[in-house]
Amino acid sequence: MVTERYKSLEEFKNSLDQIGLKALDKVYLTYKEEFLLFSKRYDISQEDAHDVYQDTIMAFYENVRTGRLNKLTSSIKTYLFSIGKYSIYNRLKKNSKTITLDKAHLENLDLEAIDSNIQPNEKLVQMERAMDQLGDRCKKILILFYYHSYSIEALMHELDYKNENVVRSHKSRCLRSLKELIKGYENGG
Amino acid sequence: MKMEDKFPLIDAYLTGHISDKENQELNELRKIPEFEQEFQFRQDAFLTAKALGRRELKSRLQSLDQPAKVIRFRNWWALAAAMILLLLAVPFLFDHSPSDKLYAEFYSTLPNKIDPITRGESTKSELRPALIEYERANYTTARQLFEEKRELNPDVEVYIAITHLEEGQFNEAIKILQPISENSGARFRQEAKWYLALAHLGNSNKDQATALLQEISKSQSMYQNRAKELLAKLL
Repeated sequence: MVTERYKSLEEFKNSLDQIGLKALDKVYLTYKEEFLLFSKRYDISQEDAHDVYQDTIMAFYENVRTGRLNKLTSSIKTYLFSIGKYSIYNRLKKNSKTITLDKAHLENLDLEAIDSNIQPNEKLVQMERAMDQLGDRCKKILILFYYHSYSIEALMHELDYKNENVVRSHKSRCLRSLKELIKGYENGG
Repeated sequence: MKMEDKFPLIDAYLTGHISDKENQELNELRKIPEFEQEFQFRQDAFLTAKALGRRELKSRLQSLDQPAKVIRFRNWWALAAAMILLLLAVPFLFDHSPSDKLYAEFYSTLPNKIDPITRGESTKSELRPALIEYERANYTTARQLFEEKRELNPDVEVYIAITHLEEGQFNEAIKILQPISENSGARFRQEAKWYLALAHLGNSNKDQATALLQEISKSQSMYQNRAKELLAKLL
């Protein structure tokens, strides 16, 4: 049972810097039951409600990471429930613009994570295959940099590099190898 | 100045950390075909890394929904009995838990490669309902839908096996994966072999898993690196 909640976005961000994704786990567990209860007002299965809640947490995380969300006028809970409600409407294929009340919270945010139908096309499947072949270190760098919005400095700390230049050159090398792998596939490999 | 020196502008744009001035510069640079090519490549890498990161995070959150079970003891006798059972189980635990752990570490759901569902694109595929359920991690429903379309597309067999793996039904998965992994004409042969190795691992059948992993690590499989890594931990 999680009792302690983050009192502000600032507190959550600090915790995220210190303990990483465990901070997000905590947010996830803190509001889960309440959210599932809230979702019962809508015609949505519990399985879907779980799914929606996970996507909501991810959208929240992504926006914090990219810096789109750097100030909150409401509590984390109010904010999460706004995204969640939007997400439920989205799932129910209703017009999500009808939630005028929550619009203020959602403006300027990237809510791609709650659009569950985004999947890679053939070209991206090939890219994924190449990333798999690239090896775990490179894959990790690219995911941390592109998805988790880690800066070069943050990558240096996370992956124990000597300095930022080493990170930059390793990242460039990974991208170069990735390009070569893709070229190989295109040439019939 | 070399063109490569300007590539970080592309990343700044993709990750949303670009100033207006830099954005203007980027737009100018994109008129150069070689630069535009690099832009397209990095954009694909960005989208893929994002999809992978998102998938990892999603399964992390999903795993939080299955907390470890807490056993409450009504009295000391029950506790003592439990401890004796635990002691008896020690050799068994030591024998089996490493492969379970490795299975959990190396297993990740096979992404939808049959019919990637792209935003805004309406695919009239017969398999679409099954794939949607699969992507939503509703594996039992997905399996039923896949099984209805078995005749239509042999590629779904691998996905049926994955729905079994997702629910810990290793023997069922092995039955399906074994023939595919030996069929040189199968589209998902590499995938079948890798997941077959994992299924054996999940079943605590280390020898069979090792044999398959050795084959994969010597082949040109996309799972070559992962197989090597897993072997190193297994042996």
